Amino acid sequence: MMALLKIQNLTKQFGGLTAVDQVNFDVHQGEILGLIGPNGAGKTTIFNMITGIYPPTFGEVYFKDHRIAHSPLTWRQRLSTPVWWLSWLPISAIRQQWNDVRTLRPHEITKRGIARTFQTIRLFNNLTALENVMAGPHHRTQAGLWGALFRPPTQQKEEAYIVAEAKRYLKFMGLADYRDELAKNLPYGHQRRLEIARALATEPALIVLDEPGAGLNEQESIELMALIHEIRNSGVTVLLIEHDMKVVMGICERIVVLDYGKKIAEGNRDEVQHNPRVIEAYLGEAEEEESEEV
Amino acid sequence: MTAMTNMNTTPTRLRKINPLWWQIGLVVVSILLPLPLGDYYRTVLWRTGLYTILGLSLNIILGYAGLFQLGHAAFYAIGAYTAGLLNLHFGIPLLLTFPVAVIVSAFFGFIITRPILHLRGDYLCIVTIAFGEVVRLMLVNNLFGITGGANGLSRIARPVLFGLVLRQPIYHYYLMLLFLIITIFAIRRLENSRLGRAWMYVREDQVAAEAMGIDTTHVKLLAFVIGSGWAGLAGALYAGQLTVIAPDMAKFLESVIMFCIVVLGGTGSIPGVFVGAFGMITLPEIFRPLKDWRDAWLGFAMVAMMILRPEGLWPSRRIQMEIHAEEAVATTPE
Repeated sequence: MMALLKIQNLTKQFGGLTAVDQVNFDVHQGEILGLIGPNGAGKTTIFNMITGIYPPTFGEVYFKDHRIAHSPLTWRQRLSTPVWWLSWLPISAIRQQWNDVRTLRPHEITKRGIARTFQTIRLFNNLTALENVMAGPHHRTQAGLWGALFRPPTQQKEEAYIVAEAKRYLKFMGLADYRDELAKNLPYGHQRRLEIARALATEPALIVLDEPGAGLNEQESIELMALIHEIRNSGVTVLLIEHDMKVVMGICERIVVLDYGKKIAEGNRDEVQHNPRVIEAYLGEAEEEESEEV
Repeated sequence: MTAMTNMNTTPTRLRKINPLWWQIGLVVVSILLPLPLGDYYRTVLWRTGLYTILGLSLNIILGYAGLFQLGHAAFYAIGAYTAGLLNLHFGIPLLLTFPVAVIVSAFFGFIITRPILHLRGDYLCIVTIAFGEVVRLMLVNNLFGITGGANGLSRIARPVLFGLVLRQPIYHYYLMLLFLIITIFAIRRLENSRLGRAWMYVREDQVAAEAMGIDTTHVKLLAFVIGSGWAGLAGALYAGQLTVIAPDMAKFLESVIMFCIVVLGGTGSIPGVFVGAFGMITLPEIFRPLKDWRDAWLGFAMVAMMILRPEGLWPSRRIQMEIHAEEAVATTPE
């Protein structure tokens, strides 16, 4: 199986605190990979590095064999990089090389095919559900100021495309009936789904879900699992962080376990469930002193 | 798709298309409005309209993209000076300088705001105030030796349209009205476009917008560039009417007035900007005899409004819902 996303020696330090420490794992094309770990294990930090919210201190992330995240270049490195000097040239070969060297911004990573949701829901609250999802096709449409002012046929076609796409993804997530509802007026479970719909509308190759099951009831969790399966079956690889063990064990084919920023286990459900280090990390709260040493 | 067609009954549907006659009626009223008035009140109307254009241009930045801009008057002045200088030094007819005024102010909008775009909220606000003052002081100190220092520029030739010299206030009113209608038309189209939505995404949640593949820097920059450019047009219109321009155009109070016009009327709302301009420009003129009380009254009015109607006098329906929903949440017992 081909590795869609490769995480190599990924490390993030916030001041003196090492939130993520030398983590390695791959996400294979077409799988559902779960990233689990106790609170503060560094899961969301990894997500934020993958999606470009902040750069790693060390290590790299490769997506489709292109480097998308690495520690930012220092000025000395920039000056000694020939591509940096030529990066302003509108020559595609140079641009391509430069793209592998520079730090990508979140929207550029989205454009390359990674979409995400947030642990705390971050919808555009005062816009309708439809308008929220209409953000998805934004990066693959063109119209700018002139298109808006003069509405040439290309722009009108594009608008129709954006609306059709947004409706399609709303329907996919079972939210077709709520499309004119303001996002903040939706019930919590629907907001979670709307966030996934919005992420899917960017047409990603990989969707990164940050605790999609948080705060959902039993019934909603079951529906969510079915939806995540459906997302995977539609050809999108899924990487998810989850606290809810039922969800993780229910849908993830492979699981990576983090504790204190380090990867402590990787494998299928059974392997992980019976791994003594995992059991210790999750159930080891009684042995306070030991876990603090790590 | 068939399931989609019966969705129009949901209660929070936002946009209704205004019937055409309603818009035509407004245009007719605004054409007839100055006719029974004297020159003084025609000029007041012109000023109100001019500040409406300024308010609408600021509304792009403040209302749609949600970026604080308290130095908007700088671009108004840059537009006026561009028009005035081109006219005085190169003899270019004033109307032909309008596009240049727009481009030059937009360009200044670009170079001034590009380095500060990553700032948020109040930080951005402070920097824009500073930039506004920098522009004013540059004009006062005659930095390039061409702006005429504190006296500004005078004897700018009046605009000429098909051989008609626009001298009387009524002509300037109609010239302003033409541009006002263009502005409203353009802004309504922007509101419902890919770019307009991108602004709203940035206003709502910048991190989420960025994660959805929206180049927030680019989008915010466009808001500033378009807004600044259009303020420049208002400046050029001003230069044509008064033929005298001074660095005072860029003073902080002017920026505050523009800011108040947008906030008073209702952020993000086109009719709100009209109400705001009426409140900030027309009313003080009507009550000119009570000059000493005018500013005090304005202060009271602002305080009262912030308490009683924080969403503005004629808010966009969206913002109104936003504020009242928050109130409802705050007052609902758990």
